[in-house]
Amino acid sequence: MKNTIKVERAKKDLTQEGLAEKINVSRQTINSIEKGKYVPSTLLAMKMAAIFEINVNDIFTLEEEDWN
Amino acid sequence: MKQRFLFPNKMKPFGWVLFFPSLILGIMNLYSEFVFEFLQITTINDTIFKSRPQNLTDEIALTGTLIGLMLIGFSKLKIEDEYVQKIRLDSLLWATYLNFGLVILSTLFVYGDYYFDVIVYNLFTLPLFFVIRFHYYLARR
Repeated sequence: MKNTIKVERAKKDLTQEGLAEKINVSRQTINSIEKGKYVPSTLLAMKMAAIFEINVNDIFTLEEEDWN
Repeated sequence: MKQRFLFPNKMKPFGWVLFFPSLILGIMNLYSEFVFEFLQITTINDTIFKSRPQNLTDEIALTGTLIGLMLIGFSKLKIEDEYVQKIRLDSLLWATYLNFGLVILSTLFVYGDYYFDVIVYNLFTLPLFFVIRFHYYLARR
């Protein structure tokens, strides 16, 4: 799964730490999600979307291999 | 997401403080038969074996090791989020597989008195593997 968290963070002028604090997770968790190492729960994805004021679909995009 | 069944974060240091001395005590007890004299007791009402002297050093060591490992592995982190929970559960599964594997191998290849050592180690290897793997992945994330 691809994501645009880094871009959206830049738009909102948020550091990984700043975003992490807003949604009550650790900075390492944001880092792992950004790198695609960890796929967050729907709850966390919705929270991020709320902070960025966009839709979840605008942050995360399915890739071909996700269908396997 | 609220995580039940975990100890508060402030219990974790107690886990480390309990674990290391207990483990060292246990190893000293197992290999150089070190005992604390004041833990010497005589059991009573032991009808099968009659009363005989017992030393509680190994009991203290094993109990301390297990409680220590439990507090280290199952205390909340400062920021306990869903990724930490995933790492914790993955580590527990991984440790269980590793432990099963080692027990099966030892059962097939270790015989006689040495098998007693296998049983003794098996008392605490699962939580030990879990704690090592859990912290390795926490550091790597």
